[in-house]
Amino acid sequence: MIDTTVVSVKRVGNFHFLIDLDAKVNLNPIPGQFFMLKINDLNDPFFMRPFSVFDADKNILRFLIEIKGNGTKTLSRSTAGDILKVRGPLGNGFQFDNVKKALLYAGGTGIAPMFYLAKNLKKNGVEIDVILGFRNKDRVIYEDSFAELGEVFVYTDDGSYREKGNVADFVLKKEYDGVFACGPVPMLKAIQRRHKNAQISLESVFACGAGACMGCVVKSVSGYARVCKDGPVFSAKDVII
Amino acid sequence: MGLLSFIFIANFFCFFIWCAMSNLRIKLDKKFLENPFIAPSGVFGLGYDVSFDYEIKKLGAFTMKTATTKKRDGNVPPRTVETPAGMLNSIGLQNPGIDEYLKLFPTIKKFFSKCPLIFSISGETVDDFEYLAKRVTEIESDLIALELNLSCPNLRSGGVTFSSSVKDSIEVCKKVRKVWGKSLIAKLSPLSDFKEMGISLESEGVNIFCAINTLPGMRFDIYKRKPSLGNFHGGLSGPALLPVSLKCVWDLRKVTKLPIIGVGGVYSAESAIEMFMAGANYVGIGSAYYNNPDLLDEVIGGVKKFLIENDLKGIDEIVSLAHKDA
Repeated sequence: MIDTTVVSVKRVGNFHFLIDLDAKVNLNPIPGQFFMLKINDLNDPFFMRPFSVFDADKNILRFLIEIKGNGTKTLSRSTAGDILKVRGPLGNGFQFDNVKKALLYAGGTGIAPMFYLAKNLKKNGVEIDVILGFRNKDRVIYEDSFAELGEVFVYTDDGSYREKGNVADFVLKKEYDGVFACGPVPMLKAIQRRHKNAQISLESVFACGAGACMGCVVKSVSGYARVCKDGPVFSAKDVII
Repeated sequence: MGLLSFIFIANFFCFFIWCAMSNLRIKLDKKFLENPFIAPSGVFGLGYDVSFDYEIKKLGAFTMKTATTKKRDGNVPPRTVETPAGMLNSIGLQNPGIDEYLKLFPTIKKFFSKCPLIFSISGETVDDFEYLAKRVTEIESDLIALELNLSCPNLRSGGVTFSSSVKDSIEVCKKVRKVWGKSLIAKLSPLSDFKEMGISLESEGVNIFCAINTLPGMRFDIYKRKPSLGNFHGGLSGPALLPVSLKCVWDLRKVTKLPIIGVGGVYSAESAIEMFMAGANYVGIGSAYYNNPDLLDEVIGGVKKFLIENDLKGIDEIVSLAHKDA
């Protein structure tokens, strides 16, 4: 494990927080890869928690985390100077070397890996359209930040902000040579139907996060695949979700 | 500069003495293990294709994920769920089957190089066990032992697990013993009758006991209004299991002099020492590793320190220590 130092913890909107960790060295994570964060030394919560990289700059790793249960609640109470043990970067990230025009779909907390991906695509000079989906207006975050990287379209389930509907309602008017998605399962199923070659980032409960326990599996065209080791990014045509 | 060199040499010398004094080497069969900590089957898969590479190579021995006669896809997900200080798993013995396993073996062997390997098998009938043991003899020279995972339901006994029936377990051991020459490990369930099992299997040629396998359990998702695991129930492991495994090892030690691999909930140097004192000769480091991937280093360091501080020469001196006067 790597001992990181908490640099800052900031609330983002009503449901999330951003945590910056100083890893002392540049770990060069690939967009879509994740880290396992150790919550405490008490064995409870028992599992380390997986979070994909929201942003990374030199020694600093940034994670966007939704406060949902005991693990995330405990992490949200970290303060600057705390030591946090992490493992990573782990798993397979997005592949985008030859992409020129990219379409990114992000639903809810699924925006986390997409932001780091969008930044890297922008660095490569890629033209980017970003489709963000949220439950309602209260949950809309990072619209402006994504707008600095490409053209942004926002959907809310109840229509309380921008377009009413979900990200799969976005009308395709251009050709894209790279489609990327992260979000809830129903959203990813819809993306799977529209884009056979999309790269989708899946979520699962990870016990080991190392490909050892076979606990986090998803059905794939070649049997069960490990989300933590064979993914979390899969080709949409390879997994049955 | 002279002073610095002196400090460096003195430190090195002290470290050398410290290492020599706190040797954790221990014999299993005819081979010395670097330390008494053994990976239980399943916890680290096949070892080579996981992101724990560096850490697991430091284990005293590695038990490979249980092999079955045919490929098993495993259970429907979700397959793991957290519990207070532990976890439930219902992986369902996902494995590629013995044929594929033996093809993969050179890769596994190459990966582990010096770490001794234990092969684990499980069958749905007594004949399955015998067949598997025969197949494993093809790589016998590269293994230190064969483990019988007796937690699988016996199809001929209406699905009751082998480990819950002394008669079935005896039959398995008897058949396997005829074809397998090296050390034979019987992995027992916490629901086993340890007294009868210990005495009976010892006389059937079992050389080592592994106690215990996971304890059956359930959790429920109150929002989905159903069991949390796709397979409904699973096996409890992690620190929550420690008191149960200590009691099982204690009971087993009362009826057998054979070596015991104590497994279940060890999460620290102290809990590992408890396991030795309860009667274990070797200790399994399992799911607590998921919570703390530095665990093996911490346990090795902590146990060495305990031995030195208590003027003990080796692990053998703490094995079954709590049984004196008890």
